[in-house]
Amino acid sequence: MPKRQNPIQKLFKRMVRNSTRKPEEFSRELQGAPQRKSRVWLKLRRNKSAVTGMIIIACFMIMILFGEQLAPHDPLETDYLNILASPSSENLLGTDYMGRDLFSRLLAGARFSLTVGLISIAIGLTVGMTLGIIAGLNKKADNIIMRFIDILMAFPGLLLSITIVATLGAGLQNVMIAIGISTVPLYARLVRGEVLKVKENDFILAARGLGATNFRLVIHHVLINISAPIIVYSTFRIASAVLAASSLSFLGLGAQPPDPEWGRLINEGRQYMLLAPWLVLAPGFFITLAILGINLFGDGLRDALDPRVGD
Amino acid sequence: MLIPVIIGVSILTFLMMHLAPGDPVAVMLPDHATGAEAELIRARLGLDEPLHIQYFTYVRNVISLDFGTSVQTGRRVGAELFARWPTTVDLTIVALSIAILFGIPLGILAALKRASFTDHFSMVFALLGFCLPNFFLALLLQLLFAMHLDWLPVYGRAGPLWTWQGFQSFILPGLSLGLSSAGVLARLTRSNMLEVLQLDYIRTARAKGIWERRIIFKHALKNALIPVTTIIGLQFGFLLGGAFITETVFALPGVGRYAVNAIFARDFPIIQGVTLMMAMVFVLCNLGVDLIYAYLDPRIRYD
Repeated sequence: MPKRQNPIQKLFKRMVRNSTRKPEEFSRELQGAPQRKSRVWLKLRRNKSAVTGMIIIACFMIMILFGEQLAPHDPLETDYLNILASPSSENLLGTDYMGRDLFSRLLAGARFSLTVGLISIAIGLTVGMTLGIIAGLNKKADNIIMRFIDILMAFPGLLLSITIVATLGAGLQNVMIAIGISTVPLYARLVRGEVLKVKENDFILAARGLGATNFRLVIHHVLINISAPIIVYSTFRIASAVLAASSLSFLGLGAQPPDPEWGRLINEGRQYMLLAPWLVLAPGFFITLAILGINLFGDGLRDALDPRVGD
Repeated sequence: MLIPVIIGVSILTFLMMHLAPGDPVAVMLPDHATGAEAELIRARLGLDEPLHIQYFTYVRNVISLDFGTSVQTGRRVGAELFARWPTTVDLTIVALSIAILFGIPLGILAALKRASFTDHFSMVFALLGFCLPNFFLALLLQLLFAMHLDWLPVYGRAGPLWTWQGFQSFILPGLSLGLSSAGVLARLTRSNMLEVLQLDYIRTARAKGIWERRIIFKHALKNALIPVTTIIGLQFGFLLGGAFITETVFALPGVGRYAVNAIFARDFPIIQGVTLMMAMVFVLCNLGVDLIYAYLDPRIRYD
């Protein structure tokens, strides 16, 4: 008796025969779950701007983690005999008005400037997403929450963060809270919209029919389906949070002396701009590069995660 | 729709002083102030009354354009605000004009010459405008055009916008504030233009043999710019919020700088006044944009 093939195997063989692609590619596709992840990764790797962004982000990650160890000098050590020195082999980017090594201060400052972005977005995301999900699922709560969001949206741009910092007082911690709160309305709106969209799907109805609780519905079905747009959006938000935090620090409302936050470095260097332009140029370049890197990565991520974006 | 938002904004700004950690009066006074002085301030600010009474007094005062007196100088905040407001508005207008004059033509050019040098250049420009912090851009412009080339004043306001010297003193602040918005507008115009150019009625117009320039400016541009007007309204608010930084860097006597100085002195009436004023203007701008939008796009009116 000839060996009988099961229909799946038959189909698979026929697909392989009729195609110019290699059999391994099919088996990878048929494996299901891991395939999506690797496809995103493959797309990201092929995307030039995403790769550039990832390299820049990786460099800054190293600075955040090991900045202080990598610094050639103590970022806080003053040397009044060597103030406003030009860039040299001893001080790669020169020294500031107290003789502190600018390069070391920049390396040490990454921790302040960049983690602020991450933490404030974490705050905004948690609160905003919770509000958005509640508003998306519950009609009564929706009205109250969205009116509140409308009020917060009436403060344009930096105004909301500045007002909150003015209320709480200057300091890096308050800046994180302020930027976090000012991103809450954006997240709440985005998540609410996505939840309303997902809610229309039949699988939600099916899950409800199977007796899924609201909590389970949110965690297993809604959250997973709205994660892609939220991840992409968060990347861009982190970039603007870094920008906003450095702006507030530049105004003197964020990091306090002697923390070498980049925005504050620019503010300090401003008075000596004509004598020692590197005091402004170097930190400004670092901030711009960090924001550029995150944005480029975000662009690539959007293209990789969103199948609707063709080109 | 509008009224609840305005009421909410006024409640939030009113609560600012009360949400601040610690006793507002203690925060405002120097450390060596006596208890009697604290009581005096408390009574003068009406802080000894119940919260809702305080709120109604606050609203009544604000409606009659009385924003209280500065804790530091004792001057009327309302008068100071109105004296400084024109500078901020001038700055915002210059920045918005720069954003529109740079952003929209660049976006159109990029869309028409897709994947060309112009396209790449304008998208890099847009990305840079987005990534350069505006305080850094402001300092770069100061360094280049004011300090090294000596073409324009470094800082200060030499006069109102319509005088030549006044106009000159607004160019650099306007550029530093407006270029990021120009980037946003360029990106948006480009993508809208590309979308519209693919639509059927453009193909019909081409088939009818209409002059290409007429198709672009009369048929495509009109539709592509409708969403751009919404963003221009939003950008106006964004630029108002950016005035804090630009005015500080360029030492312009506007409300933004007034507020930043007040924050360090914890002079709450000033901060409240500026916040309320900016939020109100922003809300009204959004209303205006909605109305213009309905006027420009008949599809919305007929819904």
